[in-house]
Amino acid sequence: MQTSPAKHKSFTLIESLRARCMAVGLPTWRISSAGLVTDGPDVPGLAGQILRSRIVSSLVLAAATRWCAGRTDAATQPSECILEPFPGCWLVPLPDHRLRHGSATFAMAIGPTALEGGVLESACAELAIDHAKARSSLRDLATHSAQSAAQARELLSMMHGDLISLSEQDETLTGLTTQLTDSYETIDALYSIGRSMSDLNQPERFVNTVCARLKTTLGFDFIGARFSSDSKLVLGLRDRSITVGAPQVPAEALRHTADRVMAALPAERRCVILDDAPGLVWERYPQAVAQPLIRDDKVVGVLFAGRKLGPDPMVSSYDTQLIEAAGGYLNAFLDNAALLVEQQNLFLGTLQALTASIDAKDRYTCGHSERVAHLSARIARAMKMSEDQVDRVRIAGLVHDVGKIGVPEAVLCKQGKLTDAEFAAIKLHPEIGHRILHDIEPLADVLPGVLHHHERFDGKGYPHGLAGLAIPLFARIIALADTFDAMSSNRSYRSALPREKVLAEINRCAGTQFDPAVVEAFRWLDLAQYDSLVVKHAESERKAA
Amino acid sequence: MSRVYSVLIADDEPHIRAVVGAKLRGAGLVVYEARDGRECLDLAKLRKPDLVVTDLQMPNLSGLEFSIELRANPSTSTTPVIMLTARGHIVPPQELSRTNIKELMAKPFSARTLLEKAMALLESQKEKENHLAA
Repeated sequence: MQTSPAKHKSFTLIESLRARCMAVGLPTWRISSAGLVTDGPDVPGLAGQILRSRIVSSLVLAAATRWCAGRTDAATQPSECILEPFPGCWLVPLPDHRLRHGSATFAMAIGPTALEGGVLESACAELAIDHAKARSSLRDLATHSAQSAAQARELLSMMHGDLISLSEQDETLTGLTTQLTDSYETIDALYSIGRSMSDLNQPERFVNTVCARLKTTLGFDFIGARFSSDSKLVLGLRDRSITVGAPQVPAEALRHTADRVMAALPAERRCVILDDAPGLVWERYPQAVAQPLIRDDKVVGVLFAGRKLGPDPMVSSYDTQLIEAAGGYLNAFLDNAALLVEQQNLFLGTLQALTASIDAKDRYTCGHSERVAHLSARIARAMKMSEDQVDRVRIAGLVHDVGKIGVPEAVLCKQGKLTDAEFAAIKLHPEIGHRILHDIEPLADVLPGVLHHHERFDGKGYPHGLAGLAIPLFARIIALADTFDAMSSNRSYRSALPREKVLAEINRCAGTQFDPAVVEAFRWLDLAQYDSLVVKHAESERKAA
Repeated sequence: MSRVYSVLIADDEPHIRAVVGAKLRGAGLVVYEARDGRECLDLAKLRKPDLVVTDLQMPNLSGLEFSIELRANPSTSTTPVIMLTARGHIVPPQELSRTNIKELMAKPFSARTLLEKAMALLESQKEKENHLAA
């Protein structure tokens, strides 16, 4: 993620310096920090051959080396220097680095004097060329004097300074742009992780989002999470492995390594850089990251990242800081998800205890609410309702008879026929239940199911005599489940009816007592689970008796 | 009377120097910049800054080597250093004890936090000076 700015900087800088010098008739030399000529003058024809001849090169190099050796004081200004390697030839040093020894470009100004001296003669001898031809080839270049060379030096130094600062600014801009882009990526990753955090019911999806976002933002080949089987974790994550990317090792081997790494991790919020973990660390990718995932001061999982891509395979604090932040989000999520489950369980448990104690008033209705809850949920699922709605139908089924707490026990448990007044008292239970639950805000959506579970599809039910689809769906479902369970159980006034008879009765009442769509869904249910609930309740009833 | 403090920044990435430099200059500090550890050491000896903010991985002389030499040099032996690095975890503690590195900050860093730490170190330097003067 972190960037090393353009490596071509010095190249482009030097190239433009060279091109600009040539454009004004000043050939250039490149001398390396080791004191070697790396590039001679890029001049065509005979003139170029002469300038690049051994004799000229060695004189230039000697002057340049002397100049470099003299640059001991950090404060020496290059613009104060001009060299004269031989008569009629001047060199303007343009060092790559402001202060230090190192490579440099030398711009060369040639004057007419150079054409008369011994250097040109030696070069001609070296190259075996005619002196007159050599002179005429150089005439266009040899236009300088000591004075014009000094002027060129002034201009070149200023231009060189400008080029350096331009190239530095360019480098700064590139660096800032890359950094800004990376920062946006990081912010976007954190935003999207933060947004997904609220979906507590799908822990696996959240972990997946975190891994996927880390992978794209940090450029690891794979990011994964491994969870222990600790009961502090929500069920959906216990003993789970989630990996995004290509780990290049079999899932089982990776799980094994992750378990080993997890066992050795301290319960801290900081991540650990691994350099010895088979499957996570490779020869070409010598480092991996392991972030402990914590609940109640205990390591319950590990977030790991391996095979860092890009030119630098080593893990940096750019990686670890984001992984630690993601670990913080994950820890908070693990807490929230587990607390939500605890809260839901407590809520459901309280309702179950409440309804079971009401059912217990009458030994014939023991477990009735739980069975109705079960059946109602099964019907709802068969009717393709969402899982959230199925849960709500289950709760509605559980509390549908809460109002019976307001009906005298003597009436509820009476053996034999009820009087009109007694029957009227029983018929009040949906409204009583509705009243009892009315102020419990989280139950608001299940109230219609409670109030109307004794309505009939043909409108002959109570308390409001609603008909058809005017009866809330929850109530239509509970009505069937309630009747089925009542017919299938012993009552104070009769014994349980055989299964075929019950089913036949229910089919017969489709469209009169029951919504035909609900009956249709019910007909295909496998009742094995219901039957085992019946057995369970009969046993606990026997134990209690 | 308060004097103007100077800070020397060393980083081979010019954009880091730009960000840190702008923040410190904005707080009224004089800022010098160096592109590597060698240049930083030369400048430190020349300018005697009150504080150095250096990268760890730089050409020629690493931030750690620089810091060790800075402390070994008599004229800069007490200059405090803040190290700004993406690889703080590779600095061995025994090496750290041979330097005046007072803070090790991980990249990406908050320029605001860096300024706070710089100001705190400069303040404590000032107290030491006042103590010596008294």
